[in-house]
Amino acid sequence: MNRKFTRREFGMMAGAGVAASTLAAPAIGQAKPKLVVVGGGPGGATVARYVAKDSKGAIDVTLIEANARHTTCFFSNLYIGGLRSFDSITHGYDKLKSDYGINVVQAFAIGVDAARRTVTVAGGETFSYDKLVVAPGIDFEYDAYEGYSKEVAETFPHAWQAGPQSQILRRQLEAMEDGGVFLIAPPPNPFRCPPGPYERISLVAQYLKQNKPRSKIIAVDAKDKFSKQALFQEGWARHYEGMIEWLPLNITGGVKKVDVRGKTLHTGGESFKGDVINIIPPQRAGAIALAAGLANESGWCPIDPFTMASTRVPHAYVIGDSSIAAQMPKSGFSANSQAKACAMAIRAALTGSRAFEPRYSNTCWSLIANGDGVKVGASYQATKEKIASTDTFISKTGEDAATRTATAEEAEGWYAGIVADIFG
Amino acid sequence: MGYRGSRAALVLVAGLLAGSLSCGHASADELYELGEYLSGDCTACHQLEGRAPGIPPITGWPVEAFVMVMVAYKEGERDHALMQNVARRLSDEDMKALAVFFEKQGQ
Ligand SMILES: Cc1cc2nc3c(=O)[nH]c(=O)nc-3n(C[C@H](O)[C@H](O)[C@H](O)COP(=O)(O)OP(=O)(O)OC[C@H]3O[C@@H](n4cnc5c(N)ncnc54)[C@H](O)[C@@H]3O)c2cc1C
Ligand code: HEC
Repeated sequence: MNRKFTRREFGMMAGAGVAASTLAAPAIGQAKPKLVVVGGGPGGATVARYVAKDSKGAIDVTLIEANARHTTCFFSNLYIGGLRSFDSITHGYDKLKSDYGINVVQAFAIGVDAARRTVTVAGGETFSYDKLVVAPGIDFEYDAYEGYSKEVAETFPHAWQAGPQSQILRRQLEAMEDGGVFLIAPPPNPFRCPPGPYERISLVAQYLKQNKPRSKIIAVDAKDKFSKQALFQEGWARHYEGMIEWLPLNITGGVKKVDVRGKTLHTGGESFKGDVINIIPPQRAGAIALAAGLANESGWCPIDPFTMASTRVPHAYVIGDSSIAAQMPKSGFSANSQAKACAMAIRAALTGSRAFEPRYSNTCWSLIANGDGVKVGASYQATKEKIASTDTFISKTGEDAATRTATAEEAEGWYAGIVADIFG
Repeated sequence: MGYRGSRAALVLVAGLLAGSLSCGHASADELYELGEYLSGDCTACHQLEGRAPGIPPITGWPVEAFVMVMVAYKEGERDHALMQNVARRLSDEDMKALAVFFEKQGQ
């Protein structure tokens, strides 16, 4: 029986499990090694759960999360389009506490002292760690467009962090008159969920077609092409003929200026007026990742592809959207996948447990209409340079309705499965 | 679970299972541990407990049947682009380890 992989590049990880002397020394006076995780989204909650579950109590796990409940970005377009309730995409941390013994702290982390190995939260409390995982998701470049700001995002929501922002957008769509214009500005690369803006366009189109059929959608994109483009454009022509106008960067030059009172987005040339305006701004790693010195000049955090360990700050790991996972897209699926490889590496480092070759994968489903689903996915491998894609698949244009219905149903099943895998 | 494998799959499965008994390459515990780690790649979709539409449950299957289905995906004998992609990233030993782990779940 041949193992498909060798221990070539992976020797350092295996080695970590062998000699007790290489284990991180627990902070003085502590019986158990401590893991602190910042951020309870798909990345952070998964890594906390897997370390707690697989170390069987040998590692003390604290999860610091700003909110009492987490609304998943994935499936938030279904909420915005009226296919799902807000409650059905919102999840608490009770099982992580009761079933896995995780110390869940509701607080906002504001700083990391890498020398002392402590995390400070707003209010001043500190938490010491042997290993730290930072998984805060994204933050926005609010100064990207003239006239745009965090405050303006309350009027022209991004809805790119699910929660109150998604609710604002939903309410605005409900209040919009028939014949109105939904104006959306998708961001430049790299950003969270590459097919996300186009799924949003699709599901808003479906809502408008059913409820306000004279309305229009205009997309002023910051890119010339996008994920699953052929599939989306085929679907838009089939389901929403004449309703959607997608304008690539090379036509408009992209958004330059935001006029709140005039409800207008100005580009280099033409200006666009909207009744509901959804600006999805350029992005970078979550603020705490920058504050902790984990990000490089790109605004994202470089990592060791084998373990997700930061290449900049010792004893820290970065997973999910904040990390530079090279060819892996910024998705909830990717964050969950990275979390499991990271959890294994952390256990090996703290308790000497066996470390296997990390496995990474991703699948992103998108709904083009209710019951018309498409997907794209890949396997990835850690190499010295990066997490590299090895094998991919994608839905095809011209697929029959039965296949698309089955794909949409898979997405439902996946949602239930991954939520259980993240939150217990 | 009524899947009948091709000849190629059957031969491979027979070889796999025989190999594990005679050569002692990996102990049962080691296989289970590998399977437990690899199962994280599956539980993004397949639930260990509970069910949902669109994703079939995969717990409690006999080891042979499980390996046979995985081989069928890997060899392209069973159609499904996503599961074929999943299976192609698994070695023979990986598949057996997963079968050993999932057989023990949900019971
Ligand atoms: C509209 C939309 C649709 C999407 N659809 C899909 C999809 O179909 N499939 C898919 O796989 N992905 C999808 N995604 C992408 C996916 O949601 C993200 O990639 C994923 O949420 C990233 O997970 P994360 O853990 O890195 O960050 P997040 O999900 O952002 O979680 C970060 C958590 O950390 C907390 N936090 C942040 N900073 C601090 C701090 N300083 N202190 C304490 N807590 C903090 C936040 O409150 C949050 O709970 C979609 C995204 C959007 C916007
Ligand atoms: C991205 C989602 C996803 C992931 C990850 C995934 N599967 Fe699947 N799996 C599916 C879907 C969808 C089907 C149904 C495919 C079909 O119709 O043939 C399936 C089918 C199966 C079946 C056949 C079930 C039956 O009743 O015939 C087995 C066995 C299986 N998967 C095992 C695995 C294993 C083992 C892994 C992890 C290594 C895994 N799957 C990872 C989505 C997934």
